[in-house]
Amino acid sequence: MTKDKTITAGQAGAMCFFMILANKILVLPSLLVEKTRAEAMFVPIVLFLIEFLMIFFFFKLKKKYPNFSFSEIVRKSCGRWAVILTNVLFVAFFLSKAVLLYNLKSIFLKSVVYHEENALVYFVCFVPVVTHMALAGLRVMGRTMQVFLPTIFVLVIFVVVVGFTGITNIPAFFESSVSQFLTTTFGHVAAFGDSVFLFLIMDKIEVKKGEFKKIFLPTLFAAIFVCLINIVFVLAYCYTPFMHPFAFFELISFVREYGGMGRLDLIPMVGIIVFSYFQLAMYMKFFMISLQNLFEKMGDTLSAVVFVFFFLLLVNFVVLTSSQTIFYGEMILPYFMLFPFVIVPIFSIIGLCFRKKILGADG
Amino acid sequence: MRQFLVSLKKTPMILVVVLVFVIYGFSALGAPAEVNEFAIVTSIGLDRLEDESEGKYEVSLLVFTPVAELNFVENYKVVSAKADSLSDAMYHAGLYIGREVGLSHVKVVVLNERFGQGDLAEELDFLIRNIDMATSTKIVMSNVEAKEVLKVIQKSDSESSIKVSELLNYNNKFIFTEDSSLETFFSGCLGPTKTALLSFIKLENGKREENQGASEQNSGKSESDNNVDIKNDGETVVFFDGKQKFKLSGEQMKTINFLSGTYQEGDISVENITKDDFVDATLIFDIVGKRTDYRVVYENGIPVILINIDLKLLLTEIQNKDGLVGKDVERMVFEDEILDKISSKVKEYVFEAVSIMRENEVDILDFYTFLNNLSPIKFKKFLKTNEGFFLNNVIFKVGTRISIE
Amino acid sequence: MNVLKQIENFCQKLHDSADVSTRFLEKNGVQIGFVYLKSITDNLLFVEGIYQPISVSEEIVDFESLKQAIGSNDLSVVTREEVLGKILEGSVCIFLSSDERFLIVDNLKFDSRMPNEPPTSPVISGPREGFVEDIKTNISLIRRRFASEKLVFKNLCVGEITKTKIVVAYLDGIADDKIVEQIENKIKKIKIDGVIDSYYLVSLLADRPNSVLRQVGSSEKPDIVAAKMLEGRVAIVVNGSPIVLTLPFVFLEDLQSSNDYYTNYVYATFLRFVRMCGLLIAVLGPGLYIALQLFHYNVLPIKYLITIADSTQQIPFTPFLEILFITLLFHILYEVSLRLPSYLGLATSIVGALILGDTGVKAGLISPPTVIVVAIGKIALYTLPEENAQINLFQFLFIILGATLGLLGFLGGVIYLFNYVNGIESYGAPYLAPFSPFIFSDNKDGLLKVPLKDMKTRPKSFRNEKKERMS
Repeated sequence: MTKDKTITAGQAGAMCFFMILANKILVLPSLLVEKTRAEAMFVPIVLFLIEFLMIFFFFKLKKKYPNFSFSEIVRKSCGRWAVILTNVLFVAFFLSKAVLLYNLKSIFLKSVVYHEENALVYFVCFVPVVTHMALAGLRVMGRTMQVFLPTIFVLVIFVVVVGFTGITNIPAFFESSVSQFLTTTFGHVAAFGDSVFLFLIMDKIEVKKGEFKKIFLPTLFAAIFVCLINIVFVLAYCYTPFMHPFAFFELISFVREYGGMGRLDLIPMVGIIVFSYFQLAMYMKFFMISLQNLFEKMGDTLSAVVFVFFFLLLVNFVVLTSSQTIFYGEMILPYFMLFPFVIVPIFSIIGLCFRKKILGADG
Repeated sequence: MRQFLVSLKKTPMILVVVLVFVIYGFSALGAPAEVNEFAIVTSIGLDRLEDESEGKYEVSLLVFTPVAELNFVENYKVVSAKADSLSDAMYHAGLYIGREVGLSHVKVVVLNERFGQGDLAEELDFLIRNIDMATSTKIVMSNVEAKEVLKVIQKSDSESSIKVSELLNYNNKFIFTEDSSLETFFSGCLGPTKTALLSFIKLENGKREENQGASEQNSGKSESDNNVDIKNDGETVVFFDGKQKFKLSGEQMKTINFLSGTYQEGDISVENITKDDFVDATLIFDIVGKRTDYRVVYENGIPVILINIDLKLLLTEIQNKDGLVGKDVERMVFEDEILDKISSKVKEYVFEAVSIMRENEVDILDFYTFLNNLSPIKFKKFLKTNEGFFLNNVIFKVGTRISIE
Repeated sequence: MNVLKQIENFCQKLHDSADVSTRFLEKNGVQIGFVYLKSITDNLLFVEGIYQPISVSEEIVDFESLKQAIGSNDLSVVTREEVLGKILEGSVCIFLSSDERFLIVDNLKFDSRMPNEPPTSPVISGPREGFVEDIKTNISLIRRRFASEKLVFKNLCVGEITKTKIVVAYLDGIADDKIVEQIENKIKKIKIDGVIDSYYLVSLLADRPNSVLRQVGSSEKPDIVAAKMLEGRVAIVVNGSPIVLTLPFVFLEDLQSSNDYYTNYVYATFLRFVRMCGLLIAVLGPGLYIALQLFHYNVLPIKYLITIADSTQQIPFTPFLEILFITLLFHILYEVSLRLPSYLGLATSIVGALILGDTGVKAGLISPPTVIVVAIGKIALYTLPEENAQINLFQFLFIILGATLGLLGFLGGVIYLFNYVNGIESYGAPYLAPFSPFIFSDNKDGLLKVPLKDMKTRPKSFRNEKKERMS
């Protein structure tokens, strides 16, 4: 079991903010717009409704069982097999998301940030920092994110506002069909569902009375920002998404030289890199926690080594081009997303229903 | 040794930093600044050649060449190369410079007129694949070879390409010139109207002064080209589905302004005004405020666009054939007759713009999106029943409200 | 007791040092011996307060009459094992032939400087007293500020040879007892031959002794120490050092200056933001500059690229070498300026400015943009009120990261640093409090400075007994 110290609701909120915002603002808007044109702005709204339903279950579970972990709730309500299944799925979920995130960010780094660097530089940068963050513990990670939260918050607002100022025309709506919309929504569900981590660290979050809003508000803001970024992208680049594969970076393209002051590209670059570090660290940490839930005697160091080993293996030997990544992402990952969007809520509902069974054993 | 390893185990980051420095540090110590590894291009000229013996295209690059001086002067050079494809030509141009071509600071792309003969969207494909190049880069067409335009830009004041951008931005009488970029071009070509506009600039003989100071010396000015100037009088090239369809003159663009809801400035003149001391005078008004409201109603399934134009005008000039000069215009009362004349002029402009669009079958102002977004079902129904270009059957009605300050 | 033999014994034990002074007196058949160190005792007081009263008194027959004859209250009787230590602490030892005990009279006196304004903490308005090397003076400077029975001074002694006096000062009922106990226990466990300055204790009291970061607060000003004690901190006064340590310590203290509390709160807020900007520029500026120059030219505006390109054309060094060279030069100048006598300082500054600023650039050895960036980075560091020279190390680290790995490595370093710093706790106080974890009430005296009437509670970032300080 992990020996992490507890985190406050504010820190959990900061982690939610980064987790939700990070992987939806780079490549996703361009992919959505290519398929559904102007209706792409509604896709995140639909998927966030489902994700917020999941967060709602988390709040209910946390209120009912403030000191229980999700594994304990599942074990007492559904049995040991359910715990093993859940944790195995958590392990696979976070590892695959980490690999996918790393692949996409590498493409961004290679084409936009660096001109000639090779992949080894990215490993050398990411792996030590991310490992240190994961090994330092949840509390330290949460505090670090709390420190960066105001800056990143302002940065995102700035990019969105600058993006809005560059919009001159409204695109034509209702050009795509309902089936196209639904297919695209389903095809990109893999980008969502990251807030399932809240279930994993349920027992580590200290929520005092009235503090649920400290988790809810950052999550809500993150969702709003994702939707706004999508809206701006759709309004600005509805017909040319293929020219703008990196949405968050491209929004500021309108003002490449702002008032003679200089280029603003650095701002989204910094934001994207910070998001990458934080999200990768969180994926690694949650992988470690779920692995330790499966193998109780496994320590932090060993679980970190396991993650790094499999991560490097998958990144190096399952090398995919960007189009292949997107293809497999759209074909296979949506089914994999049944885990956070279906299995976890089912266990949550069972946990909420069998209150006596769960609490009864402890009196 | 053992103690050293134990201490390393406690702080492994030190080992990481040392390894990073060992692996990368020595190469970093010898690495030059990236600005010295890439050729900084500020303008690109693309020419489609008439004589294709040496290649189909010629790419010219206005490249910044650094000078080891403490005055931080800007020194530019035009380098060009020919090849059968634009990307090949770009590559060869880079060979002449001896560095990799860096397109992240390109401000203007100039094309020669011959690009209008082919599918421009296909030919510019290589530009949009270069992620360094901003899609907000201005793109213009010129009446001469793009290489000549670049040479004139080079000989102008420092930060030369800004002057072209400023030229495009400042000419506020014509609407689309300031938005003639890669993004708007492709967005137009790939959008529902498939219509895109490009600014058209001309190189003409103009008057320039002999002594212009040190900056010209540093720019490598040559005396013989002293009197060539870039001119933008609002001519615009209209593309449909990536191919050049027709050209709009400056006056024609002016009429488009009145129909556009986004463009707020311009001027309007009324002729043959006889009143008080004026005989057959022409009054020229500047538009200081313009508001265009659109409403759509469907009559028998046909969209009727009701355009209401509110104009605030300021009298700026009276061209009087006879009569007193310097008349106290502040106390001049603008009677209904003048207002009616202004109103008819506006309506004349509007219907001229509509007829331009109908004749050439291009939806320059994107009425398609406007009608589609307002009532998608009715509009789609209208399109199904409509034959030919949809604007031919759309009815326009114009109302005006004029106030003169 | 054979007095003469005992005197000889003391002289032997003290190696017949030049400052050992002995006296022998015989009165009423009783031999009286005096031993003391004249370098650290008040000779006048000895003569007038001890020797003369004894020599003129007719009633000295035993120990009690001896005590009565001496007018001082600082008397104590000690054993043979303790007497040498007391002599070494500045006491006068008196012994009789008729008694085996030793009488100790506290007579410590040595030349000490006046509590002037410390050069490292000048203020525009506010108290200008500063601590000195004498622990008694320092204690009195603190005592004068608290006319309260809550002020507690606990005596400790550290150093097997130096036997340095250490006083742990705190306000009872405000400072947390557990923190006081923790600090006391840590000091008591110290086994060291000597403590010359309070800095010796810093690494021994710190949570992470191997860390480069400051984890123990320090100040040379009694008003600052008093203010920190009022917040619930514990002060540690070390004999022989003008620097008083305070615990727990949070990073925010480095951004605060005593001037902030003696000036308008809006201006104080503005100054704190300036300091924060200065810190960020100092630590991150040069690293970011070199990263952009070497890896991300596309982000720089064209005019700036022109400046860099033109200025680096004839420089023999590569950008990384150049920035390392200039940074090293600046550090050399800094070290030189610390040690040079003041009459040579002007010459050095002219030479330094000429070499670095003018001749080097004209000779084409260094480029102006790099000089400016490094100079601003160095100067910006001194916006912090407390000297934090180890931040220079971070500057070097970020230069290396920026030059070798670019923006990704640079930002990775920033995140790593924040993560590392967040893991440090000073006696239960998170290092980056109140920014992380975010403590709303403590932010009233964080980057912002609210008026004193709104600062009603003590800091929540560390434990203290009483939260309310104003009603």
